[in-house]
Amino acid sequence: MNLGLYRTRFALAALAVVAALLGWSLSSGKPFGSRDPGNVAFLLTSGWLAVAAYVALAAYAARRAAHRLRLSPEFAWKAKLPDLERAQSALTELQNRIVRRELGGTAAVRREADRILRQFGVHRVLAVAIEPDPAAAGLLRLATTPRQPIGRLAAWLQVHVWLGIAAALLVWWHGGLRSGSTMGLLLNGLSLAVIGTGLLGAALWTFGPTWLTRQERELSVEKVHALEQHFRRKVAAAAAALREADEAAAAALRRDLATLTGQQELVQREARRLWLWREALRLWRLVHVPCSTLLLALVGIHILAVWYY
Amino acid sequence: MPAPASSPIDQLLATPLFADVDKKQLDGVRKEAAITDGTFEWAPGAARRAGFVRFLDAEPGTPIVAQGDLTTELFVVLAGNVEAVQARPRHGACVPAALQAGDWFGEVSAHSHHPSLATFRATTPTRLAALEQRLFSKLYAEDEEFRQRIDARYLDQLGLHLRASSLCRDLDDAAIATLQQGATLLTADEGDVVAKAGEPADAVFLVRAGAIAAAAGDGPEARVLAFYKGNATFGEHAVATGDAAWPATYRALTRSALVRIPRTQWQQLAAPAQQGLVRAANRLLGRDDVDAARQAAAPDLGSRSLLDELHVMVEHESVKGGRALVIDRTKCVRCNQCVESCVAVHDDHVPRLSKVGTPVATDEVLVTACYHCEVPQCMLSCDYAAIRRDPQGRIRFEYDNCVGCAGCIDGCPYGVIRLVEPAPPPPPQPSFLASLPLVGRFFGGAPAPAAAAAAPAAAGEKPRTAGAGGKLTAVAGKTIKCDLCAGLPFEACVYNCPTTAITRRQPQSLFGSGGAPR
Repeated sequence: MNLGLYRTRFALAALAVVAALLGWSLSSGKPFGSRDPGNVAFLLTSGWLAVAAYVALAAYAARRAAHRLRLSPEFAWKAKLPDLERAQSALTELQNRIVRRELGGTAAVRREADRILRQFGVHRVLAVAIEPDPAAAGLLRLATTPRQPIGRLAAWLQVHVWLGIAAALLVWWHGGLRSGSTMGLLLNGLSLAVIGTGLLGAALWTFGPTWLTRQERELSVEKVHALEQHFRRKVAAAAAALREADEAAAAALRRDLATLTGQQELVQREARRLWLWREALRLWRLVHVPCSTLLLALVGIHILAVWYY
Repeated sequence: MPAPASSPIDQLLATPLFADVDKKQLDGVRKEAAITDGTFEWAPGAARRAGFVRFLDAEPGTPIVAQGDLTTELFVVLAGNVEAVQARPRHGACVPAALQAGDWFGEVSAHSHHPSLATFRATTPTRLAALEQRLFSKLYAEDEEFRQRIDARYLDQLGLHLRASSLCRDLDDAAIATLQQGATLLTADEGDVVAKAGEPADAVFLVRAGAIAAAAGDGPEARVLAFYKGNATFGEHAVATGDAAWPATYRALTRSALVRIPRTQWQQLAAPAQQGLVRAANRLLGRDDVDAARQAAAPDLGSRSLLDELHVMVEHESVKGGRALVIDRTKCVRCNQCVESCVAVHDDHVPRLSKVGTPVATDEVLVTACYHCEVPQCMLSCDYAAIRRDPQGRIRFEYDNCVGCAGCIDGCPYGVIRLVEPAPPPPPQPSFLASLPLVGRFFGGAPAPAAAAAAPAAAGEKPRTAGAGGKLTAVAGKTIKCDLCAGLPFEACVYNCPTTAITRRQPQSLFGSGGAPR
């Protein structure tokens, strides 16, 4: 079970906003989605917050795509290898100075480390962590790590999950699940589809890997693919031998070929079964992604329509 | 002090290190230097490469090698003076050696791939020659004179190495000198027994190069309990506890060089030094072979699975790696984002990551990515100086020198290096206007008939590179392996995993102790 999907401090912020709006709505005494003039402030606030959440949700998909297409700004910050190595060498010497007690204090060490990173132009690539050295009391230890400037995709997914839940609640309180108009019907319907498939996806990604690993413990998809190729070669070789064999040897070769073909079918069946289970983990995206895209477009139209009319 | 000589290479060969060295070996050194400075005459069609000897100048105060840097070169001082400054926790800095023209340093790193033991910096304007590890190893293996001089200087400077070991790092200079006096060098071939279980333990060993495995039991029942590599010591219990016998059998996993310091030498230390040593030895023993051996010998093998797993790690030599790439299959949603990210960051669009690896623990897979080995066989197999170690210990390819001979692929014991077709040179990008449909040809978008006719002929040729090595031959292919996304502010596979299933971890963290993932 992968509960890491949900462990983020951002969840608290999302829940706080949601709780505040719920408190506001309940204290006003008006039903969700009421168009009463006294409820306009709530409608506007919840509406704009939902739009902001949708934009942030889309940013997760944008970040994935930007990385795949090398459009992410980090690619432009790539450092030259000699600069990187010179900087790391200088940081090693800085560590030696700390050990020789020529330099002390976190602030001074931090200043010097930053100066080195900037001097070699690698401050956007490397980060230096300064920690107390467990092996020597009173000394500091430097550790370099990749800077990871826009955060790991896993953190973006955690935010995506919690913002998705918050956005669904905001849409509910904003529109009250009204389906009197085509636009209302579409917006609410799509919202439900998106949050439904999203929750299904979150559940599948939480429990699916453990279940799948259990299924693959004996034979993984990678091993099955290797076996498939192995049997393909063996069957082709046996078929070729059969074509060139005389009558006496043909009977034995036919039996061999039949055995091999039978084993090949078993492996293919296993491959299909494992492949289907793997696919099951991402089928939900077939609904989630198109519905989300359409929902974003309709939200834009909804804002323009409200503004215009 | 060497006699003044005309050229740097003559200066180098006139140093005491090369006196009486076999002429054939000296010719080899001369040739490597000539390759570096471009005066070597190549046979027509021969593949060029960078030489294994280079010359460098250092200004006063400039560090030539920093303590802790991983370097594989042996430095010979041709002119000027160099000082060694060694930093030790709780002791500050000490200057254990002053070197002058004709002296050398870096033999420990060149011999055992150990990080530099001290910072070596010029104190006057200095000229040095740097011999690459491959050339050093050849000279060391094949020339007796050269080996004896290197070993004698190593023993003279043994204090540098002893101060860097966990056991002796707190000893004062007098104690180090005492230990140094009784030390002898020992070489063990693969499989040789250095110390046998049950026999009297009368010395402490420092691993200078290679690797030693301590095992309990014999034959198929033998269990590997601990693994000692460069800079590790074993036999501390002889000093600390007065135990009379070796608790396990210590066997060389590869050809190994050891320093043997007899117990009598330790007993000569002054009382405070002895107490400090016993404390250090007990600290080491807390997690060392003696306890493990006793556990293994006990009837109840409570830690049997742990020992089995350690055995797997030793078998696969993943213990040699710094941080291993691990996939937690109970978190992996099989989205393939890691491989796709790996493709995205490499210009040739070939992934370096293969998710097939060694299953360890219960549901974790140790991905077979480059371990950046301590003794990289790929580097030893490369005849073209196309593989080197950077100051942080990572193994890097120098594509300017690589001719795609695939020697490193044969050399790598883990099969992590692959040969791919070299990427064809990218076609010239048309301007925006030239790329427009229909009207683009008015802005030079249509290919010239002559260029279009020449293209198929050029497509059949293998690409050539014009790097520092200035290779003359066609490049057979390009070798690739995980480069840790060199130069980028992230490791793509770790950075882009949506569920933190793939992480870099200390190999030992797979057994539940330390090494938090990042």
